[in-house]
Amino acid sequence: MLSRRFASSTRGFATKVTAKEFSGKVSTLTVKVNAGSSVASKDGLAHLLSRFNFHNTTPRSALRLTRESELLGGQFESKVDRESITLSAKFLAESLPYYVNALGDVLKSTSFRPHELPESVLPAAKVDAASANACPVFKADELLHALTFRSGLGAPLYYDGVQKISLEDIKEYAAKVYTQSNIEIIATGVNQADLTKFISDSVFAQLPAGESLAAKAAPKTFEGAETRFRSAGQSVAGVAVPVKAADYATYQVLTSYLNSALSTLNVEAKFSQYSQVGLFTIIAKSSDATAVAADIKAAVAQLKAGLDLSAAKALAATELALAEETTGVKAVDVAAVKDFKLGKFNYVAVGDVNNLPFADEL
Amino acid sequence: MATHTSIVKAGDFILRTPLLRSIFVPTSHFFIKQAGYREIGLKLDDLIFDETPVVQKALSRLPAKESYARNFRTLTAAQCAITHHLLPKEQWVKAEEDTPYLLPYLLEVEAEVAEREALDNITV
Repeated sequence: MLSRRFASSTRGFATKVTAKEFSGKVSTLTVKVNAGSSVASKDGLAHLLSRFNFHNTTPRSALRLTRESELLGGQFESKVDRESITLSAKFLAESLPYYVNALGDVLKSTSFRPHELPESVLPAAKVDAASANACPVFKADELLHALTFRSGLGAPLYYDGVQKISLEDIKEYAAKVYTQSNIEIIATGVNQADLTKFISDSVFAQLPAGESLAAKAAPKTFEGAETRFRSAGQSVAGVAVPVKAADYATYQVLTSYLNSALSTLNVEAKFSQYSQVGLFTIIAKSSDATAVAADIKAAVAQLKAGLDLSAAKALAATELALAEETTGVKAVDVAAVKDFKLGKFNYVAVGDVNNLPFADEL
Repeated sequence: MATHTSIVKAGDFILRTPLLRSIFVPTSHFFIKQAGYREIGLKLDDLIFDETPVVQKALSRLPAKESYARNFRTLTAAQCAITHHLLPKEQWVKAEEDTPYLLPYLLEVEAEVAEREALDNITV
């Protein structure tokens, strides 16, 4: 079995560093920056900054970084979500110092050359947005977030060109978010002492102190809204409920229940857990809009009638424990969960809207 | 073929060496006067042969304002050539206006090409 030690430290500087030791040969290093789409002042800014990561830096060019990393057998990735930008590297354990420095340079000294924006950042960002928005489930998810949170978490995840973003905006945003207090370093398969030493010797230690931009209070949420979006392709009907931090356990169990064989409903449930608030969504999807209508009606009817969740508690506890092992998301205690009854919700219909129900018909 | 990078290097060497400098600088002024490109409204960087991928890339990176001014100068020069006229003397490009506006971009692109070439042929 995997032998491991779990340790966390904030020695020396403000960045939180967490390392897990595995006996395997592959290590990962992840820098989580509180700079997702809900933090950015303009829609799409976080996405563009995320796409700017691993471009030319003062010490080395983007091409050199990629080629050097290929020679070492490593991989880089930068992802944006609603709360954070995640820079991650996967590599063989012995190349840890190189990757600590490389990730540090990306945060500290990306050059933001003017030609990079039109030549490589914008085209890549547009492809991201186009391919994501081509999926009706993603579209429904975006609309449900927009209905529920309006701004902040409701802002579009990807750059869509509605708000004009200049290179200066991206530079300013990078300077604001890439600070010691606003980033968290998570590593797996490395030694905690080594990692802390390498980080304190690297440019991570030269980042400005700054302050954490993580959400401190639960945002205002809105319920009872509805929207419809015509598009060709598959039809999707979705229902979303904002979840207070105190109710996380109930919704975790409900999600496990609906996605398991225990439930007879033909819908997919998702629980997006953010730091101060959650969003529970159920999505019915099919190329036949009448089938979607029947599925979402059946699901809402059953959830409104009330549901005994005690059967799914053990399943949810196992799933959460597994997620804690693999991703480090802290599991909630599901012991007290009893039953669930759907109250007010937000509703979205995407696709063949002529054959999809309205919210008051559910 | 000589790249712009190597030309700039040679130029820097000439400017650093007093003897070469005293020969080449007056020659260059003589050349500029004889070439007469300033008299039809062009700058030296407008004369760079631009039908190569490197120069095209550099041109695409020019700021919009520079790019517009360059096109304007090219059109003016073409008109002068067609009509066999020089510009009126007050419209000639002055020495201080003849700035290497394209060269920094060219050097950057050439450095990128050289780096790619080196990394493509790397031995480890």
